[in-house]
Amino acid sequence: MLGNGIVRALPWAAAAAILTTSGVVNASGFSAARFGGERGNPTESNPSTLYYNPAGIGFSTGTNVLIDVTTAFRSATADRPTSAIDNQNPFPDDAAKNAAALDANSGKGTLSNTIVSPMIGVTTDFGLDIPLKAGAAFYVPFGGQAVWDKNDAADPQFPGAEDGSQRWYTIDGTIRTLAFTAGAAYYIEPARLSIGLSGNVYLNTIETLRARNSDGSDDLEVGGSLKEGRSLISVNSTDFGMGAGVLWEAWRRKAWVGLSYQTRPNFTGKMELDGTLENYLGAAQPNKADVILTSSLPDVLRLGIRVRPKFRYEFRLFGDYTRWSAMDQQCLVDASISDLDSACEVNADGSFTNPDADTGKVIQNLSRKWNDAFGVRVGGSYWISKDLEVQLGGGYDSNAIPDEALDAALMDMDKFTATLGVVYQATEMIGLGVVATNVFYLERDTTDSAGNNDLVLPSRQPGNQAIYSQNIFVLNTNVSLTF
Amino acid sequence: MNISRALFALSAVSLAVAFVACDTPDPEGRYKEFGDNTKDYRSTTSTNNDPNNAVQVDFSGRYFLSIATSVLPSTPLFFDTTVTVDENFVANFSFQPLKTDLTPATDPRADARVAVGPPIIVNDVQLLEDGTFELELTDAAVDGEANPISGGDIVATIKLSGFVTSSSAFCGTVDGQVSQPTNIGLEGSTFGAIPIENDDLTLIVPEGKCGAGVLPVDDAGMDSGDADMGDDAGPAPKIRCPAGLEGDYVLTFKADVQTERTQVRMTVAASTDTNLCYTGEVASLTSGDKIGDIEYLREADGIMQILVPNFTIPPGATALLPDGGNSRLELTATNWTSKGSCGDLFFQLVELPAITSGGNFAAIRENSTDFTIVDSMTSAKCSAIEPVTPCGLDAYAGTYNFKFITESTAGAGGSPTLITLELATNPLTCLSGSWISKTTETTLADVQYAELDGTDQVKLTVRNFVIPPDPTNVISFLRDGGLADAVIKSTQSVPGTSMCGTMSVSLLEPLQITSPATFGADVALEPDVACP
Repeated sequence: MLGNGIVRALPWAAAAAILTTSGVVNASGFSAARFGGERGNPTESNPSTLYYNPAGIGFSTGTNVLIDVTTAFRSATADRPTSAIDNQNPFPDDAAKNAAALDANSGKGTLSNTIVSPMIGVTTDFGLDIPLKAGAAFYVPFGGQAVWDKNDAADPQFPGAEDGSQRWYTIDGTIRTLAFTAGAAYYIEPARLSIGLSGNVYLNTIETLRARNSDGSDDLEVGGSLKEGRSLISVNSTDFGMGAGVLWEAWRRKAWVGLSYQTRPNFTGKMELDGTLENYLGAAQPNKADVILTSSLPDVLRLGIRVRPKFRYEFRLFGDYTRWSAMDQQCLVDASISDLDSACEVNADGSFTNPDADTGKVIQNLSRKWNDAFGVRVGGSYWISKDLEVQLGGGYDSNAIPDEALDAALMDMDKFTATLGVVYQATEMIGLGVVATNVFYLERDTTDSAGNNDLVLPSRQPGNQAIYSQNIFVLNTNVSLTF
Repeated sequence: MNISRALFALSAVSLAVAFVACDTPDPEGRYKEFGDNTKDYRSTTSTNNDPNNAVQVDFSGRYFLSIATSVLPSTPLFFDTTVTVDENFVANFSFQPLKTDLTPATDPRADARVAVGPPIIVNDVQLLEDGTFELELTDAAVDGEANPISGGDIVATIKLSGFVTSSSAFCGTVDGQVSQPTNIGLEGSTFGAIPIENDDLTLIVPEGKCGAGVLPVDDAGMDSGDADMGDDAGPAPKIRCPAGLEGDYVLTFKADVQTERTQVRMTVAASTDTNLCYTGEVASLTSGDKIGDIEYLREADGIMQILVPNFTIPPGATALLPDGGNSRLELTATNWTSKGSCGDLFFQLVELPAITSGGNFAAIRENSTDFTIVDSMTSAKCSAIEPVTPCGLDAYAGTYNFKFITESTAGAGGSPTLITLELATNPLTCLSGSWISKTTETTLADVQYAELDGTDQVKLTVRNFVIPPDPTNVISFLRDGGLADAVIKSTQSVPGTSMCGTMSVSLLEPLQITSPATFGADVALEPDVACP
């Protein structure tokens, strides 16, 4: 009865998941892959391994469906000091207004969001007794969304201040990569080895709103008139990538070792997202332009080992090395630009390297200069009965973003995770799981760091120095079906 | 089974909570919200110190664009023009031709300024750092109903050289060639653009050229009258070019050194030079011989100026110069309308003996059916002008407490303005006078002329209303002051005692918009701001 209900509900759950999909940034950079919970690792054989290690499905039998919904409860703050403000004395003849202006540009921006991110995967052996298995999956490997709180106490003489002090980097929006993956694995029986290959189609979307002045400052007024503006960017792209991996059953039915590699999108990691940029700049009428935003995503190397020496016990150790150094810059240009790469190349101070290029079409360079990052997780399972599994886990993810590039739009910190989960195999066909993870982010204080306000145009932006804090509680709810 | 039900229930509850509580980003909504919250700031202009006041600024918007052709500048072509400017100051233009105000038979058109024909699109126009742009409408087709000159369909190549003077204003010069219905060169034509704030385009007062402070001609030169003022000429006068002054006039003037007045014909034609407005010549009424040039006829700092730098005095005309001579006439009109003008004369012989003299002048349209010049050999004052039919508004003369408020001010929560209105009879203008500040007692505006409105009401035309700076003005873009014209129409009145009615206030600076208003006036009491 319960199983039939679940099966009937599946199409609706899938549709709802796709319609409401978003990412949950909870690993390094803006990686969001935590679907599968403790079973989302390169040593498993469930459908989530189409991303973590496509070789995993080589160990699967029958047809398997996994629906995993990651629900994240994210809270974050960005406390911007007055020292980050460009002009410390914007109204020298009006002390009260001067103080109000500094208040309007500093202080704590807050966020408290609930985010839902689905993953749906299917693998099959086609009902044949052959070593080739195939599968497809939909999930959100990168991205997130943020709706920052309004500051109801903001001084109305500065109309932009109600969007919080973090508004110069983010007010509201989504940065998201949806992935559609198809993969296959070939199981080599004598070697107890599976080799897998997958192809990914990435649908990238960036739709964010931030405060912005054309000179890269955080000035509120100029000459008695409004200066603070807004930029709304809405861009999309479709890109491609591949994954490959091996999974070896090192000790029959007791130990598995997995290794996988996901390429960068388009292999280079470079993506060009097309769309529009809408601006309110100063007191000018709003304008809208067709734009291109360059961006990058990393390649990821994963390694893991899973050992189940006894029927009731299992231990897992796995990790990833994510090459976020691919994220060197994001460059926003007018769509009519010629020779984008040359025009967007910048020096260390943020200035154009090739001033003779079509630099007039460069709107804003976002200096990133991220670093490679890694994550390590350990975990274990205990089977209370053959159908009831309790999971425990812990982990560490390093930070990909250097102090000078950290901003409220894309936060990252060193972080630790603690996981507790329960999985119940209700029938041979149906398994249910609920896994809770808290991601403890270590506070970062960049108030004394260099920042984007030390760069020159086109890279200059308002000061991003702040004290950043964040916590994410993640609830993975999943249903697995085996036919 | 209990465990599975518990897990299923937990999963269902957590998913339900998640989907219900999920925060959905709405960046577009918050973007629009910011736009709405800052709407009042967005009309403000931004300028720089460029001599032409031109600036590279986003001037995206919808404009009422008027092209005043050199052939017939007083009847411009109208275009409903949309401009979109991108981040790199590359502009796209859409010029939608509009029907003319008058039919070819000069009857008012019922559907005046309604779009006709397809828009003309010009894309990828670069606004340069100095605030200028160039664009060309190649073989542009304009429907005959938008042609104020002949009413025929137009095919033309029109080149616009533009000055962007703020985020909501641009203007410039026009060149090019009309190839249909006939070949006409457009060299010397001009254009102006006014932001469209209201869909009723008929309320807009067209500006066919750049205003003061914007000099599309690279070197407009100095007036000869300025030449001897050296470097101490002071700030350049604010020049406006009133429309509709072309034509022939009878000019009567008398310098104090003259024993009898002089009457000549003054022929005025519109000039493409926005610093001159009109040029022309002075000729003998009897022989028709030319006896001088009109270097300019213009409104400078609110005063009509006419300069005749080379007026030839024929031999025998005066005992002072039995052999004749050359003189310079500077006419300053204290009262003027499109039907005539009158005021002071400054007379100067430009050869020995270097005589200078004050005097008066009065001018009316030649063959005027509205006015005559009194039959006197000595009078050239304003009183020399007599209306054929009295305007019937003499009873309105007096000093009023005048209170008004525009819809814009009222909408922004502002208060009415209370000033003093002084009205005096004048034979040329019917009534003329001033708006005077209650606090500073300075003149804020001139009542240029009055007309009978209907059978028993009065219509006053007010020009050059100087809006004083006020940091607390609820209209943010007026906090540094402004300039406006106004038309006042009474709907209820007791002549000489009180009146009330409606107004139309046409702001000229810092931007050009028109706002309806209501007013009340009373000679004794502080009036209400509208009719009871």
